[in-house]
Amino acid sequence: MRYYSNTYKTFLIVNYIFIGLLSLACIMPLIHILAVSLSSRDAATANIVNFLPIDFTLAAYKETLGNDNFLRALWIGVQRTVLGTILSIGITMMAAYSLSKENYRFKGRNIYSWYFIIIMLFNGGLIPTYLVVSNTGLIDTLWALIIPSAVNVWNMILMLNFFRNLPQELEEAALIDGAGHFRTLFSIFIPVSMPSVATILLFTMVVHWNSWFDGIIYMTKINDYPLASFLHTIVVKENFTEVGVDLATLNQISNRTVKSSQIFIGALPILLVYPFLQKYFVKGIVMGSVKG
Amino acid sequence: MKRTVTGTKMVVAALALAMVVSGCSGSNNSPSNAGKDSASNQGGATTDSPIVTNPKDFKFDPPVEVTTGIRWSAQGENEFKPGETIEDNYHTRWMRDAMGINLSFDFVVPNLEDYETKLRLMMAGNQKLPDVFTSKVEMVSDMISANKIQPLDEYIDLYLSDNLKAVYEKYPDVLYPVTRDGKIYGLPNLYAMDEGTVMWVREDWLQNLNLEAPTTIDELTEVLRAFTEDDPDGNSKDDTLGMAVSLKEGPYNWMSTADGLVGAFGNHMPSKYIWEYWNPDESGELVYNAIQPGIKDFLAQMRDWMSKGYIDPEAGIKDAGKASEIAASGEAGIIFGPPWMDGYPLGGVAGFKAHPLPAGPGGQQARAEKTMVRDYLIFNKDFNNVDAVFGYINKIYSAYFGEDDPYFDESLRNGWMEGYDHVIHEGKVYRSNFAEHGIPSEKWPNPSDDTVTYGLTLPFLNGIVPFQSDTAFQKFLDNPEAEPSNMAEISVSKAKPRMLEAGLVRISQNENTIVNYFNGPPTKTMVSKGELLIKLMTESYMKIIYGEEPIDYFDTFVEEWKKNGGDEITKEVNEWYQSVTQ
Amino acid sequence: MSNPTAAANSIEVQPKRNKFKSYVIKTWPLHVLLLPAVIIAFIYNYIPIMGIVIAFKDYKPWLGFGGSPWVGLDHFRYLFEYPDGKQIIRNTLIIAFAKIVTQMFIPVIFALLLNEIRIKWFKRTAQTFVYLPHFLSWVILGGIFVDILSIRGGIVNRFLGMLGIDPISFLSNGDWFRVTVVVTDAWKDFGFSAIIFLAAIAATNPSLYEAAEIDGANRWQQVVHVTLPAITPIFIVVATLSLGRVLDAGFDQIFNLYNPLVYSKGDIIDTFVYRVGLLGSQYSFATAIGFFKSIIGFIMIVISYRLAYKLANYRIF
Repeated sequence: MRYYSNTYKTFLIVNYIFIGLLSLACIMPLIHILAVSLSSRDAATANIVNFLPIDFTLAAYKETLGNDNFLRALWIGVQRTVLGTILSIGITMMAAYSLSKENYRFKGRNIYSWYFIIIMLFNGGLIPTYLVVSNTGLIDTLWALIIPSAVNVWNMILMLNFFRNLPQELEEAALIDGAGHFRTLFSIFIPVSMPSVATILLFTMVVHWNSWFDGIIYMTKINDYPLASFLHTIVVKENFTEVGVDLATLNQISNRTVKSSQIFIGALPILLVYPFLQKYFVKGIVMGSVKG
Repeated sequence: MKRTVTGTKMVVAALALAMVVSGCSGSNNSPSNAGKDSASNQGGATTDSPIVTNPKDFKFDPPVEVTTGIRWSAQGENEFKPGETIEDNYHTRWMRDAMGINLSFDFVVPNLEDYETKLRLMMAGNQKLPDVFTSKVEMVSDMISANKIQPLDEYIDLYLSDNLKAVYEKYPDVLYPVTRDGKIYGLPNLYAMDEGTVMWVREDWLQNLNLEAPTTIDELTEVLRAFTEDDPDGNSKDDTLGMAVSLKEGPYNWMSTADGLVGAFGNHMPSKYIWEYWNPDESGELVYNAIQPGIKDFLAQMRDWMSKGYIDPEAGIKDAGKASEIAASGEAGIIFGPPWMDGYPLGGVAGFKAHPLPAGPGGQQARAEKTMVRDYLIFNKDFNNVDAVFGYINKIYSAYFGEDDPYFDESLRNGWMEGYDHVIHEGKVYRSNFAEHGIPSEKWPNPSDDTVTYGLTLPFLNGIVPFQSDTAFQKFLDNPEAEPSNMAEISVSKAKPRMLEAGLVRISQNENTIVNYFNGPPTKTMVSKGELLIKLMTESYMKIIYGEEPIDYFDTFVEEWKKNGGDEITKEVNEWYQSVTQ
Repeated sequence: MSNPTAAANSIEVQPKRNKFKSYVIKTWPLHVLLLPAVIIAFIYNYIPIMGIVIAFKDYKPWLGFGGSPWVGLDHFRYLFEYPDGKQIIRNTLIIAFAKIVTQMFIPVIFALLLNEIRIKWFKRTAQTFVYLPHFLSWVILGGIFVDILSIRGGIVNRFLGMLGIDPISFLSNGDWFRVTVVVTDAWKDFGFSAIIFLAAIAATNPSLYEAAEIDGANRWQQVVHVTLPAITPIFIVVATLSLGRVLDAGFDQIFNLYNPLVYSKGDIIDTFVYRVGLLGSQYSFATAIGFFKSIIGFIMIVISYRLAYKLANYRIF
């Protein structure tokens, strides 16, 4: 039976209230966006909408969901996120495993690790990267959004640290059983590291879902844009002194409710993914397999 | 062990390098590098072209292929009927069927910045640029230097319609920036110039307070005070103020602007671009407007109003769109901007009405005039069917010039396409309110909604004849059912009465504009010092207006400006001016 | 069971070729596992890195990398000779450093607090909510914050008013601007950054807590002696790597929130580079500045790697 002291109980109450308020503060912007998306054009233009819609209307959603371009971009976003995440996680975990070995057992691992650190910090810039992507034939293909960004050194470092912190006995037990490196990695290390794998998974998915610049640079037609690139077209500040304002442009600027609906729908998938992954954030698989 | 590691890496390196190198050399065989000399397409203009022999009905058989790359955002409402896209719609089909021009798109990009990045990447990668596309001055200049586009003089002489030639002759400045070594490299796309600033005022508030619309700065001060302090909306709450304006990027903006006020203090206009505004002083030399004495008086006036709370205290941190919110929500009673503000953002506030700009202490009234050129249409060096594109251009413009133009196309008389932006029912043309006029719903552009019509986004022709629509405003205000006589009038006919009135206000002050005389590419010192000078300007202006520095700080600003490159730039600008006015 | 020292000793005795062979036999899977990452990184990261050479040239796209004229250190000189150069570097360092420090500790503290929540649905909901702001772009948040922080009826100032405090111009006063930038950025990212620590906490061996409880430790002592040590390695890694961003004060955020009134305290290197770029595409200049930032970041990481090793005996990578 657990005994909670009074100080702890007070702390708990304060903690719950504090975290509750904090969570609300974080969700407020999205509620605001939702409210705007369900309001009338005029109310949105005047920015009088707070957290409840004014002159409730579904017009913005009708338009967004009827917009083939938006839906197509949504689908492409999903595709690149799934494929990109699988490739990136796969590569990252394999590399992290090797890098997690100490130098005395795996001479040369330091060279590899500095090899990767350098690319984490140094970047050739837009034009050289574009030229390489172009010369390897990836322009206008989904792979342009998947391959060039597959190596994520940050994730690699995280993963290698998680691997290092696994108990020594785990690997020794595997060796006893005659497992080589491949089996050790895939059958033992990964299942045991679920919280960290889930973390890297989430990070990678998020990065893919939000990446907009590569879509704009490597895809020549708006048809091929992933969602983030498509949203970027409405979310960036257009400079109207540089372009004329005609009726079509006016419609575009003034359409805050439609923009809000697109932003809201765009944020949903990534929001829903997290609760789904949370069950993997449970305490690691029982160490019992090692005892005895 | 180190050997293995190095060994593997070398093999990998060799492989990758081979891939990259082969890729590089592959693209080096693209047409633009295929050793043709730059004169190869100069001799292309001939009198045998169908567009010369048969202007009204020319058609290319077999069809010619034309590629372009455009800026288009996929965010417009009701831009295309379901199933149509920017790349395949009634207009592109009309081009093919009526004129034999097959238009295809090398790329479609949503924003201007990305569009320019795309073009630069294509240049860097030595990729084939589209046959015809638009660019701003600086990019055109780079394209000329890179030897990617062809001069257009012969084509202009032989192919351009007379009406269009007359427009360019009327405004010869528009050609200077793209002229190099005496040759013209781009066709200017011009603005309609119908966005001149007017003063929008809450008529209902004026009535409530028994005031007249202000015609001078002093009267404006009184109105601002009354709007701020005298409860003009009669709700016994202190929730109103005088003016909504955006000062974040300087006084002149595309909306929520203060240029109409700057013009009341002199013939000078500051801008967030270092190449604007330059106009001649008494000796005929171009001077930079943002450092002229009249600006000091303007800043003093704004400072006074700001200190008394007559203008939005957050004007300095808001951009144009955000600044307009308090006008749309009923907090502000005055806002300056183009006539189209009738629809957005003032669409929900019926009380606003447009008025002429107020006169300053010396009787001046003026607004900034936008640069006339939007961008330039340029042609790939290796493109052989320039006549087809010129013919298309002539045809589109002919719709604006009216039926007397030799290129006039009957099918464009009433609109871009029947069933899209207009409907013909029992011999009469209708452009709106279809249900009201008893037209059966199958005939509507959108059978399920009679308020929908489909506009047209022209692929690469962004231009229009400046000021042409001006005569139409009064016509349609007097009679909304009047027959438009050309495409320019058609677009005016769709405007609501309040916007037409605003347009007339704008037209009434067409002579009171401040024009920029410098339209060359940015000079050397502009590029190296421009950012610093603009930063200096916006910072100094804001500090004065917000009372953080005294009014005489302006003189310090002028000194700093001159010292930090301003004098250099002035010299360079005048050198350019000399060279083009000879 | 494998005895590293004995193994090493036995290897030393063998002749060189056998040494090499046994190395390959022992470690070839490790190299193979690294291969995909190495190849992709080489093609898409290392080859483009050669393009950094344009930082020392006046690059024009049609002249190419080789053909563009050499200008040496001109671009770097431009930054340092720029009259406001010291100002923007100072602003960048101050803001970036403040962000690094706050975002080092706030996510950890939050993760620890959240860990005390036992009600499952509450915990999961809170986690999901707080990680949400990370996904909203600064273009949207900029507009929202202008409203929230407004001196005319914005929520924050109204709240301050209830406490008897005069309205503060968060966005037009230089010092408050810096505070606003740091606080709002922390608000935006803390929930997302906490995820790593939540994962690390979840991976802690539960038997350690049981042992501590048996020893009579209360909750606080358990946290200090079990949880904190468990997440210390990851904390060191995250903190170290974040030091590499010491010149990255957050372009998107500052660009959407700043204005001329706060230039003197809020203008950073990246916004300066952006404005210069408006005058004509300045790829060389942008590359030069990017390279400069990378070098400084690299130096910082090397230093903190050494420090972590010397002080905590911990190798970060």
